[in-house]
Amino acid sequence: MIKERYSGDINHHGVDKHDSIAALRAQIAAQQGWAGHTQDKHLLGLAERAQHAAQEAGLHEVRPQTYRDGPAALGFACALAVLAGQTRKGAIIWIAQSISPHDFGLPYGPGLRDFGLDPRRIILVRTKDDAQALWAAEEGARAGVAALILQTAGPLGLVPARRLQLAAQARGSPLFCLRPVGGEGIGPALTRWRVASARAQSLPLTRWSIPAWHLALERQRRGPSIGAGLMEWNSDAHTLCLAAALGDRDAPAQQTAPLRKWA
Amino acid sequence: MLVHTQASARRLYACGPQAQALGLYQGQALADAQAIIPTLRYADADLARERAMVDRLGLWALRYSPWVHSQCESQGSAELLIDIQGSEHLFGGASGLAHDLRRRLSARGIGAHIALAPTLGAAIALARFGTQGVTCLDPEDMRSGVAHLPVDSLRIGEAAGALTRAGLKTIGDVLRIARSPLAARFGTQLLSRLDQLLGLKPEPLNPLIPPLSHRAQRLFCEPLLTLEALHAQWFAALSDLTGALAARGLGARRLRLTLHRTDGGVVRAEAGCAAPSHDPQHLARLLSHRLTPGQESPDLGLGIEGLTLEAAAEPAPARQKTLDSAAGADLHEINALIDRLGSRLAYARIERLDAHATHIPEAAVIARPAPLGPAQGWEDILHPPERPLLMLPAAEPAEVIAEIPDGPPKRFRWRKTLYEAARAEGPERIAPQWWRHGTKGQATRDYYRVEDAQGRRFWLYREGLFGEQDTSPKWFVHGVFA
Repeated sequence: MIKERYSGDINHHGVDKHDSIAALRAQIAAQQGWAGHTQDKHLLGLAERAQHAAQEAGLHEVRPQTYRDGPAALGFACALAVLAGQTRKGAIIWIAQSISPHDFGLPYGPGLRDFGLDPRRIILVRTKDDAQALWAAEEGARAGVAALILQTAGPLGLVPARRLQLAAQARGSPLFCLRPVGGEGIGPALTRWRVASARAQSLPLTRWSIPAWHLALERQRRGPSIGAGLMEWNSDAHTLCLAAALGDRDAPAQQTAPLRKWA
Repeated sequence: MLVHTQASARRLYACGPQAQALGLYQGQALADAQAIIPTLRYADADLARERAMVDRLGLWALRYSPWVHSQCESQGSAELLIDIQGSEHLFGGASGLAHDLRRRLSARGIGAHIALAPTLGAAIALARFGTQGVTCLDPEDMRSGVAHLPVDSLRIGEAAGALTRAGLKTIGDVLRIARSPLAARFGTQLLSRLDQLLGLKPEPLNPLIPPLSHRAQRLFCEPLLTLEALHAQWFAALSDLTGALAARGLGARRLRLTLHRTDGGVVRAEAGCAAPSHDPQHLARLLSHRLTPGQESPDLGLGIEGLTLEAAAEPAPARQKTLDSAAGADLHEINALIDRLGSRLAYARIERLDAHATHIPEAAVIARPAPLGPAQGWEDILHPPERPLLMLPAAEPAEVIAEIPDGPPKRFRWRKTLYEAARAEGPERIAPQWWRHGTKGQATRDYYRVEDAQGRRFWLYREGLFGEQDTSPKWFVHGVFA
């Protein structure tokens, strides 16, 4: 009976209701410090949205499409951390679970440097389980570091996710949470990205190949959650750009001449 | 009455005063004792428990001084060596300390001979062979005070028997003899023990727990039963200690909190810092997670009667909070974060990456505990060809189809999955470090960067060259590009 009356209310005052919900949303946003954000994010391209996400304090969720896309998801999270590190100074905290044999290993210093992430800024925290990892992430976020990369193994409940979100927003640090394949999404996350590995469309000029991913923006708070595309990472200029399909055919598989002897 | 088995005979290990009055003695065969008293009741001695008990007593005695050593010297008796220099005034002088010790020990049902002497040797000799109760020896009558003691008290083992047979029964007798004949006949150990006894030669005490440089202590009239009450006390002690450190321009690098339980047990908590700190709030946070109510809350027994807080100090430059540069404040904050993470997760789990100048990829980075300072070495090393973002903890074997002798992989199977190479670069040849010892059997590695049709990118290497060895070279996956 109550339900009926409730639905009747909506029918009767439908327009007023929408207005008041919008007003309440604006009020909540103002209380939580989101007031200045643009509302017209759907006008931005996917690359700009990623750039924007990297600067936005709070919890961002990155998950691979399949198990074998794990390194790709990590690479995208790294790219976001590079972008976050451009405007914020301080350390970048990388929280990794203690290594399991099916993982793809730990971050490698020279590789991080090639990617654009200064290894001197990295503080690697190896935790035993998710509980420790979440605690470490919260402590790190409350210390106001430049960015955090958090690798979790299990499901992340609403309460811990909300805690992380608040901790990250308290000092303005973006937190990139790498999730395993499948499972539930994180409720309070600001953005959720699904990443699959892809071949770059641009021709590699200075490097042997260009990091590229099929990105899908699955969720975006206060904005439409549509958007998918092939994103390339420029490891020299440290920019994300949407790959433009080349007019001519794909470059044939090339085999370069052996490099000079190293060592 | 306690009994233990020694040299396949059951012998008395320890016996009380009543048994001694009936003519029983330590080391007597059990059969003889039973012949004297047929209704003798006895129990087996538990040496491990006795040892643990003596250790606990040693920890308990830390309330008197940080320099404590405990040992099971002879059958059925143990020794507690306490260096009270500098701490006796806290207990109303040396004799006050001795009587406090005696009172507390007898309250726990432990009979003790207590001797206070200027040297360790004299104190041990007096406690073992002196009169009952508390004996004090002043530095002035050092020689006369020990002269009447038997030579057994010198801790010289077999030589004591030889001295007795030569008619030298007391220390006074030995001191009257010239040194060189003594050394010639009874060995040099006798002379060094004599010198240690008289304080002519140092005898260091090996502490149970090496004391840290600074120390604050609080003893309570009534035992504290709750962690909240304790927190107030140890935080006050911490504030005292950090205040004293700050006044001297020092900061704590390590902290150790010892809670003394009324039953003689101790509860200890330790914490370390990435940088010297004299901020009591920060240090308290490091210690407090071990001392909070919850799953891991410590066992307070029947209450805590005192606490000791020790700190290892290092010079810490004074900082002005408001005028500090932003970078300095940031560094301070990061150090505080590392301390918090490390004290809860273990310091070895918080790592920074140090560059190491070598071409061997797995040795080019050293993960080092972050509290040891900022990452080093990255300015000095050259940029090698592109490296993967992730490195496997150990290279994993892969089945590879490639052109002989040094073509890049065309197709490979890794972790039961087949990958078709769409693009490859290499080889990047990395030779073993032949100038190093122990690299004799190592093979040259040829590294290839390989991208498959889906854009997954791998770092593979072939160990060894074709034609160099009898077996064909093996392939490994060593890292993954993002």
